[in-house]
Amino acid sequence: MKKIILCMMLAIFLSSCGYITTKEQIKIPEVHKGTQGAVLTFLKDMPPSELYEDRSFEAGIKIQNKGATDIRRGMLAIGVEEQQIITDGSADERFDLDGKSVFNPAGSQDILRFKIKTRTLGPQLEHYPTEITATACYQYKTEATALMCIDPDLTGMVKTKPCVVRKQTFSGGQGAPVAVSSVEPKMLFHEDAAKIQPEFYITLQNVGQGDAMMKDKVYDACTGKSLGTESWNIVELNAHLSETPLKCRPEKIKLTRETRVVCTLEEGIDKSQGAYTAPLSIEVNYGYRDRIVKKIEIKKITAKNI
Amino acid sequence: MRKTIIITLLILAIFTSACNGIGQQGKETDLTTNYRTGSQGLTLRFAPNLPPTRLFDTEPFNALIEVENRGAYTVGGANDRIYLSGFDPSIITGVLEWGVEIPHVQGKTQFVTQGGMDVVSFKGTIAPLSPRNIDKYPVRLLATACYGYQTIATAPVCIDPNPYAPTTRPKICTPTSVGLGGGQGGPVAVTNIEVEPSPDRTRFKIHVQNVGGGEVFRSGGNHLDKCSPFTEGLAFDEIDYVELRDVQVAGVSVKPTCKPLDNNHIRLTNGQGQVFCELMTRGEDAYTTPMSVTLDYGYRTSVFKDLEIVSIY
Repeated sequence: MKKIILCMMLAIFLSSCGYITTKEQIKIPEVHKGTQGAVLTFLKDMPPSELYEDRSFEAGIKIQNKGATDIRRGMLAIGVEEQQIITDGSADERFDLDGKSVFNPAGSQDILRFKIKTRTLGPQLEHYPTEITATACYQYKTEATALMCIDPDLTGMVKTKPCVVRKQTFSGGQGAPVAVSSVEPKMLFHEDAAKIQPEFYITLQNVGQGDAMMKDKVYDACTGKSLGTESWNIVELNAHLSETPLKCRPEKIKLTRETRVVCTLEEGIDKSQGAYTAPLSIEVNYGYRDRIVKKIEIKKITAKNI
Repeated sequence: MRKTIIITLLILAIFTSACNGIGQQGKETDLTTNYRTGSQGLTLRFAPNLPPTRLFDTEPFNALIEVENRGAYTVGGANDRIYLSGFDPSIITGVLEWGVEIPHVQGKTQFVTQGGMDVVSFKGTIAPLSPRNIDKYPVRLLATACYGYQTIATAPVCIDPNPYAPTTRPKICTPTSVGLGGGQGGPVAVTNIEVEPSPDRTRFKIHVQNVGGGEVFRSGGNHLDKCSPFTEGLAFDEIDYVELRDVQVAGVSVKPTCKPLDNNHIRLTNGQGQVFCELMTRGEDAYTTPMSVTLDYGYRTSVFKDLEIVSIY
C-alpha cells in the first residue's frame, strides 16, 4: 500500500516538474476573421442624454479597429443639428489605429473628444430632442486567402489526386467589413494545348454596418460633400495565384448584395505541374464609412425643469 | 514397477513426438511455402513525423517515405521512381520534380518470405508565408510510386484431348475452372482460368484483375515516365492495360494463340480483363499439367499526408 502511494506521489511530482508532458499546440489567433473595421461607441454620458440649453459639454467617442488592416489618417467627424448645437472647436479629427495582429489580437483603440455647446432654445420650446452623430471614414482593405486546388487533369485520367477542384464558401468574414463570401474555381482549356487556364469566380459582400466607397473619397464622405452614386460602393480588387497576378473583370467593381468578379490566370499553368493546392490571395481596397448616433434632449432652464 | 515403466514410456513418447514429429512437420511446411501470394506490390508510408503535421515557415522541409515490397518481384529498375506532389512549388521549393529513384528492393522469394524495405527522402525549403498574407497553408502531400512489376501465376490444369470419346477407362482428371484466389504476390492477379476442352484443342479463358488498389498501365519505360504527377499524364489508351508476357502449358508457350491483345496487352475494364488462349492437343488420355501466366505492367501507388505550414510573424 505504501509503495503504491509512493509511486503516485512520484508520478505527481514528475508531471508537475514537466517530465511528463502532454503534447499541445500553441493556438495562433485568427487575425483575418470578423466582419468589422472601425467600431465606434459613445463614452458613457459623453454626451449625456439630457442636457440644458446654453451649456458646454463633451462628446467622447471610443474608436477601436476590430479589423485586420491598419488605419492611417482616418477621419472622425462629429455631426450636430446646427440650429441647436454648435461645435466648440474642430468638428473632425484624424486618427491612426493598428489593426488586429498576432501580438495584438483585439486591435488598437483610441478615444477622441469634441467640445460641443448647446444654443439657447427659442422662447416657444421647453425641450428639444436632437441627435449627435459620429462618423468615421477610413481607407481599408480585405485580405482573403483561399486555398484552391489547381488540377491540370481536365479529362480525369488521374484517379488519385491530392485535392479536388471545388467551390469554397467563407463565413465570418476576413477581418474587414467587405468580405469574400465564396470562390468558385474552374479549370479551362488554354489556347496553348500544353496548358490549362484557371478561372475564379469571386463573390464579394458588404457584411459591415457601414457603406463602402472609392478609397480616395473618404475625406469627402466624412465632410458632407456629395459623392454621387458613382463613388459609393466602388471597390478595387487584386488577386494573385501563388505569386502570379490574375486579370480580374469587371475592372470597376460596384458592390451589390452579392457581387461576382471573374479573375483569370491568362498565362495559364503547365499541365506538367500536376494537381496541387495553391493560395489564391485576394485583396480588396476601398474606403469605408461607419456612423453612430446618440439621441439627446436639450432642456430649457426653467424652475419646472430644474 | 509396471506402472513406472508405462509412465516412463508415455513421457518418452510425448517427448519424442514433441522433438521430432512436429519438427518434421514444420520442415515440410517451410519447404512447401508458396511465396507468390498476396495482392500487393510496393507499399508506401510516410515515416512518423517526417514531415510533422505542423511546420513553421522558417523550418526546413524533410519528408521520408518508407518503401516496402510486399510482392514477389524485385523493384528498382531504371525508370522506377517516387514523386512528391500536391504542394505549391513556390511555397515548398527545392523538391525534385523528376522524383527520386526507387532503390533496389527485393520482393519475396522462395527463401525470404518477406519482401525488402528501404526509404526515400525529399528535402526542400519553405518560403515565408507572411509576404503572401497567408497565416497558414494546409496542404495534402501526395507521394506517388511508379514502378514496373511482374506477376507469375501458376496453376495445374486438366487437359483432355478427347473429351467426348466414349470410353470405359476412367479419366485421371476432368477439365474444370481453376480459381486462383488471394493473388500471386503482385497488385495484378490472375483470378481464374476457365478450361474448355474440345477434340484436338483446349481453350483457356484467363481472368486478370487489378487487385492492388492502385492504377495499372502499360509496361515500359516511356509509360513509367508518363506516370509522374509532373507530366501531362498517361493517356486513355495507356491506363488499364497489362502486358501478357507469356502463357505456358507444360513448358510450351501458347501466347501466339492468345487474343484479344492490343500490342501484347490485355485491356482491363473496371479493373478486370480476360484473354483467350488455346492449346492444340494430341492423344487420348486426360492429364494434369502446370500452366503459367506471366504478366508485365507498370503500376502506380499513392499515399497521402496532411501537413500544415504556419507563418511565424
